[in-house]
Amino acid sequence: MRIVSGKYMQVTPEILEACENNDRRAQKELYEICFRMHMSVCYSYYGNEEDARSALNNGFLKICKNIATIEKNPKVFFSWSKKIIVNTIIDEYRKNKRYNEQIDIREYDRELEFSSHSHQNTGMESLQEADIKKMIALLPEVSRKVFMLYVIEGFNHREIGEALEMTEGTSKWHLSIARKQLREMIEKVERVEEDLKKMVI
Amino acid sequence: MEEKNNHIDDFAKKGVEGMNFEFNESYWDEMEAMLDGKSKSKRGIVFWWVSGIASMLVLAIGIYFWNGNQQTQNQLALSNEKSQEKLEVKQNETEVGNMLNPTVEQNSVETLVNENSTNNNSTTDKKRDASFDLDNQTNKISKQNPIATLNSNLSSKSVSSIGKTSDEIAELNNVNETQIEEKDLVLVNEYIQPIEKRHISQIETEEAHFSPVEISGNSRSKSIHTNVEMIGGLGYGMNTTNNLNSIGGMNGNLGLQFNIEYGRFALHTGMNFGINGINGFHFKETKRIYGFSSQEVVNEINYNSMLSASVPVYLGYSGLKHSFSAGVKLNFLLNANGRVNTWNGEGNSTNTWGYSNALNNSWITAGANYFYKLNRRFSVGLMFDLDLTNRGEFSVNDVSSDFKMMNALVGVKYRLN
Repeated sequence: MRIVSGKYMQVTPEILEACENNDRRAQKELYEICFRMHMSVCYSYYGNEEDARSALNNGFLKICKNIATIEKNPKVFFSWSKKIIVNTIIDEYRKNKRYNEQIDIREYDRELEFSSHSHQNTGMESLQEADIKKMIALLPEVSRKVFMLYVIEGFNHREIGEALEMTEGTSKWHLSIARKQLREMIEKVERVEEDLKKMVI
Repeated sequence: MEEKNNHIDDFAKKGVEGMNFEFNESYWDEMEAMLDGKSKSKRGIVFWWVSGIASMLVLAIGIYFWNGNQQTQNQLALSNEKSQEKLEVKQNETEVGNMLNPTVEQNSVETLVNENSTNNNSTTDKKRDASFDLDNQTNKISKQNPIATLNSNLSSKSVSSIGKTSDEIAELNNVNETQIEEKDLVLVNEYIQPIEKRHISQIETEEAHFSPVEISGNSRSKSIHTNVEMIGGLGYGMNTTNNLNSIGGMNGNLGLQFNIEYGRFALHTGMNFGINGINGFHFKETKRIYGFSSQEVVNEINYNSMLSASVPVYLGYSGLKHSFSAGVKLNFLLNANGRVNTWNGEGNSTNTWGYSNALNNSWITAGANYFYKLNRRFSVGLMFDLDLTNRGEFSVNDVSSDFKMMNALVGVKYRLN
């Protein structure tokens, strides 16, 4: 079998059909595949492994329940399962959300301009995935979710507003906060690296 | 600013896509508990509802059966009295005939006795011979491990072999199933371990040899599952008792089956309603009429419908696609509608001459089923029944015979939950 992409390599129509028949061994195999495919996404939303795994498990339950409705194609399964996982995360957020802030977009547009920098963060290239993972985990919960939906999933602010039950302005605010904080963290890393270089010299 | 934001966004995307998480078996244990919990809670409600309805049905049928038994005994006593009177009349006529012509053949009663005593399925009665033909049906049963695949030595389509039975793999590779040896099968751990050792994103996007594996052992969870299926069948039944020369008839059944599964094994029970169609029991005799001519008379006892209820207790074993079960059934007669036809060469007539019959209110059958799973809901297969105890006793002119049946049906199952 020619491997087109590593993401859905192990998903085969046979496994999907076996899962449709509630074959437990096939379900285990599919769960492991989904874990490797989507755990990073879940973690990015929650910032900790326990919540991320809980969301993944809830999403996998829905996947098992509805697997009969999709075409048994690995490519189709990848995009479909990711959509299920993201929707599960959104649903859980809506169930558990603690705040529903209404923020004036005009006030915080000016703040965004003030806090912007004109140069590219040079420290970005040197950072490892683990560092980026930690940075994203440090973001505030709602801002992190908005950032993930916008940047990774490609939602627009209207869609994010509908999903997370907030206004477009609030969505934009959270996105800017997330970007700002990420930038600040990268700048800190840059300063530390510069200091280290000076010490070496 | 837009450019700056793009850098941040790209930075985050790179981080998310590059994240690496190690899989642990305990994660699956947690997930499996969720899968079991969800299915149990859903199935539990349906199971208790259906069990309640079935229990009420059994109770209702038991009451009907108990009341019906009382009526049947009363009717049988009356029928026996009438038959005895007619038998005495005919015997008197025969004696008169014999007195007129000493060379007359044995009377009808003695002829019948001789025929039955030799236990001869008469070759002269082509109708009887034809009635005993039974279609021979063979089931293709996989004797190998139900889920297996082959290594690349045997199969160029090895990846697509995952989840196939060994006979299906043999067919895929155009080899005989007996040619598949142990060494051709690869253990499942060899499949899982390579995945654990490398991350998905590290795999080269070029053609790679993907070693197939065998998913051996029990593919189902080691916990108890329950489900309910609707089962129906249509087929043919025939008498298995040699003393009665009979033809068979159509039969059908419909019912609910409750399954309690543990791994590959299951206990099946439920409630079925069956109807046996036209069954004819022929008693050929030669009768002297008016002392000069003989005439073949054929008595046929027909049961146009025999309605019964049954409670099966079967043990089953199932794989991914094939399932087998066998056990016993307790059957209850609900209703029987019968008549007697007599052909005397001059047209049909109906009478109760020398005839009495009794059907038992309950009997036990042994049965075996084979089903092939088409998808999660539907299965098709074959069902066989063989009476272990008598359904009844038939007698004509004081010659009696037990009555047992054998049924073969084509069945369909539909899973309700």
